[in-house]
Amino acid sequence: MKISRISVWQIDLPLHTPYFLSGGRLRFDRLDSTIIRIDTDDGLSGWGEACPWGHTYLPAHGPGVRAGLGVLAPCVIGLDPRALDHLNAVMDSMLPGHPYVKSAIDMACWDIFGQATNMPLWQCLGGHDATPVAVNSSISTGTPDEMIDLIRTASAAGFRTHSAKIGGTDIAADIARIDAIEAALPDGERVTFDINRAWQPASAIQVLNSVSSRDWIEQPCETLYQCAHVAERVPQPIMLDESMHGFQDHLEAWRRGACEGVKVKPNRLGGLTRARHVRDFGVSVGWQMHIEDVGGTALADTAAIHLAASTPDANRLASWLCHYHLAVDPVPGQGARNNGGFATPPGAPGLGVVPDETDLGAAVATYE
Amino acid sequence: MKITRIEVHRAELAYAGGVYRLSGGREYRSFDASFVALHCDDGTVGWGESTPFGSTYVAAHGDGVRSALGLLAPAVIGLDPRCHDRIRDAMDSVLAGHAAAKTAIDVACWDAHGKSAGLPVCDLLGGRIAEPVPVISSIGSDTPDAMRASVARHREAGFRGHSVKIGAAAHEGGPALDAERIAACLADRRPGEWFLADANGGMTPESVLRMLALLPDDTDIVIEAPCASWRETLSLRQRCRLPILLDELIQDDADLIHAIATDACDGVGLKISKQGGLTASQRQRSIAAAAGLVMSVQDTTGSEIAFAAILHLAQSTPRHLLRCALDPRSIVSTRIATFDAPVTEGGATAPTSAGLGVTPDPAAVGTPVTVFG
Repeated sequence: MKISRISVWQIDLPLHTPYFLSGGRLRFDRLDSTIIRIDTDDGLSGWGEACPWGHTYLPAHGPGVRAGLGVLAPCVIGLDPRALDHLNAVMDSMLPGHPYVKSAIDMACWDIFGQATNMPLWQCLGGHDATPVAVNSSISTGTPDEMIDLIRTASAAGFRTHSAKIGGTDIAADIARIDAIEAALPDGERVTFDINRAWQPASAIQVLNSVSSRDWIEQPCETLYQCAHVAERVPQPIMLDESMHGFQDHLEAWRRGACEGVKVKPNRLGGLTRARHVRDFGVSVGWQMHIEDVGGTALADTAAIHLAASTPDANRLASWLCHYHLAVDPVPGQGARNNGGFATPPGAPGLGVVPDETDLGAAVATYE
Repeated sequence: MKITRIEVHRAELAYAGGVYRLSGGREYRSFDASFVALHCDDGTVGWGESTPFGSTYVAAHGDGVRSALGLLAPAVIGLDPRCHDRIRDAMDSVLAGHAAAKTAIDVACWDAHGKSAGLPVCDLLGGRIAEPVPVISSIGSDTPDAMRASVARHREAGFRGHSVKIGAAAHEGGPALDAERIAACLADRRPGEWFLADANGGMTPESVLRMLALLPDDTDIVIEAPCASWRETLSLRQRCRLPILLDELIQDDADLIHAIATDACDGVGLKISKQGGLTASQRQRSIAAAAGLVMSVQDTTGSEIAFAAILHLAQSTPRHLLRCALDPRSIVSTRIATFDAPVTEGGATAPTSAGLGVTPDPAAVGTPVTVFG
């Protein structure tokens, strides 16, 4: 089997509510997503999506996805899409870095691999069942009362895990937010406090030693080393996200004891192949993981949910669904969606989400 | 002083030697160059360049540079090009990462700043240090005899520093061939010459250690970028008797600080478009100097414009820490600009004219592919 054609679509994904990163530093109104279809010489086709979160969250941007595909697409045409490690080695050789470009190609090839083996991706990735995965809310930063209101609304929608965005230069405000949310959290529900790199190490140490909460603290500072410094000096478990790019970063984080868990995001890491590698390492060292994508429609969400569903319960925390925040739905009704606080991966072979081309408009590029 | 318009130009720079080979079977015939002409409200025009070494060397490629400039250029229009850190903040606030694209704008701002101040860029970067900057040769991987002859030709042309490319795959001859290459390149060594053995991240600790075992004890050469990852590099570092200079692994301040904190190297290759421009390179130069690291000042490749930025940075780098500068004019045969800095006796001197001192040839840079503002 050989890759014979790659078609590329660009779609704008407006958010239904503007989103502010922790600390209110950056506002996001819409995402720029790239959807691709890979066709093969024996008639199977697979779908992939690469959707960075704006262009300021990670070193990634929508036009960069499409420029990078211009380099990579000609290099993978003619390769066997089922030989995923080889395919990734070729991509790494032909264009170092740029994981956010490669993830779309890798995802579409996994879709083909699943169809070719007649297995849903959760099974290809090692799972024994289409396990429903707990999904978490995303609570935009605000005053304690505003944030507690958002948590109650999310609870009503079935969410039992909440990712509360905090962090800024006002230490007292962050202590107040954590204490108030901790006190108001409904029974049986959990919260992760996501700082999105907003703290300097000293702020993190001051805040985290002043609160009684022992909930997860996510990406307190900019770099792995700053976070490792903090992890040694605070009582909460630490989860790392944006500072983790390649497998080497995970090895270094484990070696330094910088975290007890990580976010596993295919678009940040370079696709499902790389994400599975990190997931497997995480399982072997006892990490607990949030497995989700950086952004995108239910297509990208579903790929991540397949990986989450195939991950042992003990190592899996909740997953966030980007499509839940979008004002548009290019794959209506398809894929893993929130159902009472859980999302279940499809059982069809492959990824199980097939966009209707007529909903995507004209392709912006085709490589043959 | 404000930036009013930014034009992006594109040109293909032909490799002067036909096919350039790097470890891992990577081949290059030409390079996709992006140039920025930055126009200011007082009539000043600054030029900058970003030319990745193909798409397979570091995480940068020509189309990627131009797609990122589409986000970056609008963010700096209206700003004062002389406020380099504020320009950097504005670029970082609209696009994370993508150092290569930011470099073209950053360097153009330094050129504009120098022109407006009537000073050469080296005088803005800490001040000119007299004496020509030693320019390093690039001795591509080949048979030991051919590499020895290449060193001899460069020696005749005045070069005192030589970068010997190693990293033979097992089927090509492996560590034994690399050891022979090094021995051949050092065979006719003259006093004062400095040699690098550059693996471009293409070797494992095992292959480097085997190569070292085959070299005589008194071999005086610096190993550059031996391995692709930090773990491999740190493992090798504990067991390597020769000095190590890192390049591809050090892309930003945090990488450099990590290298110092882990005592990973004795020197660093500052490549202007890899570090994110002259602003970032100047800061990293200070960090490296504080740690006593020697430096080679380079870029991925480029035209006279890229060389001008290299030369001004090198011309203002403390001499006891500056090992050499790369002259990409020896790599590419396409001429883009006039730049009065000939290599004489293996050295070049930054011109005293204002700014970078380059004058692009309108025919060579062509019409802009995109205009912002």
